[in-house]
Amino acid sequence: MHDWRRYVRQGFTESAQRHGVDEQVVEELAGHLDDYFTALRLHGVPEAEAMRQVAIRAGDWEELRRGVLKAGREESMNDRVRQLWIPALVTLTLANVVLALLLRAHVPLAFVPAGSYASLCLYVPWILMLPLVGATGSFLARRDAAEGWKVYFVGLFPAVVLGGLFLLVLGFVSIFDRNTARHIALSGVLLGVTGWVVLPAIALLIGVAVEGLFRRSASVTRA
Amino acid sequence: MIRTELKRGTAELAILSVLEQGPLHGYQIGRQIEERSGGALRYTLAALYPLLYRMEHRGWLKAEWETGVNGKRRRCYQLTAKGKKMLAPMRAEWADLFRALRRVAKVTHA
Repeated sequence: MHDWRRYVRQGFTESAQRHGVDEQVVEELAGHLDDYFTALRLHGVPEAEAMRQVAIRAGDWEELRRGVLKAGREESMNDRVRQLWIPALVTLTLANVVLALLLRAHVPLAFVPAGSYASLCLYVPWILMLPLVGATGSFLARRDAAEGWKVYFVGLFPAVVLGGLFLLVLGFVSIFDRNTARHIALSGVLLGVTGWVVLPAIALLIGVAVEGLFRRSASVTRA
Repeated sequence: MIRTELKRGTAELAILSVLEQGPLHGYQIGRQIEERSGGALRYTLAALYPLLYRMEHRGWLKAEWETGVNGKRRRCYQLTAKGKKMLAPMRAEWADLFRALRRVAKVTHA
């Protein structure tokens, strides 16, 4: 009885010190060689010749190792694009389109608490629409089998981008325009971040959570 | 004997075609292709498995571990709806290629 797993591992190890191939792949390839060897023996091929045929069938171990690893890398890249970047870009675009449509429709957008020095500028109708945007992103990501942090990242992507923009602008101003930077009040920055990043993020998260609940209840109903 | 590079190009269509009949594991896929091609198409592990994994990642194939009556675990591949959809255009593409080659290189059936 041959230990085909050992045979495969050995083949890979000879081609590279650390072969990095998944154990499940090793098991699958070992199964293939086992079936091939058994078939040859059943056809009356002597053991030594059968082993030689198996070695030919295995082919170039380094080529196999590279092929398997490359296929895995392609998978993770494709998965990242499908599960993360495409839904995230859709979510971001949708959030901006909704904002543009609201502005175009002259919906009264700004809510500024009267009398305050550093006003909290809230785009209430937009924020109210954001749960739908978050839910769409979550739906698209989960549809492509995304799980955990990926779903939240996709749902929160518009807020992440806005947060990034805030940081970028503040960094730029504080480095290149010290005069303006001196006039920026911390309370103003915090209120701006609250209105443009924190509250939108909460609204988007609500959408992600509601979509998740809907999906769960739908799968329970189907079961 | 068909050269390796040429065989590789045909492998996707060959794999999809043999899986059209039902789920098979890697060895069975290789054997079916070999039998149906009269021994002309014979793939090494290095040619077959990276391709199977790529096709699986593209969503053309779905694979599941199954335990046979002999207690051996094998990873069985089956066509997905997406994979089935790929078959017809791929067959048409190859038919076009063969027609074109016949015209250009005067390739004829044996």
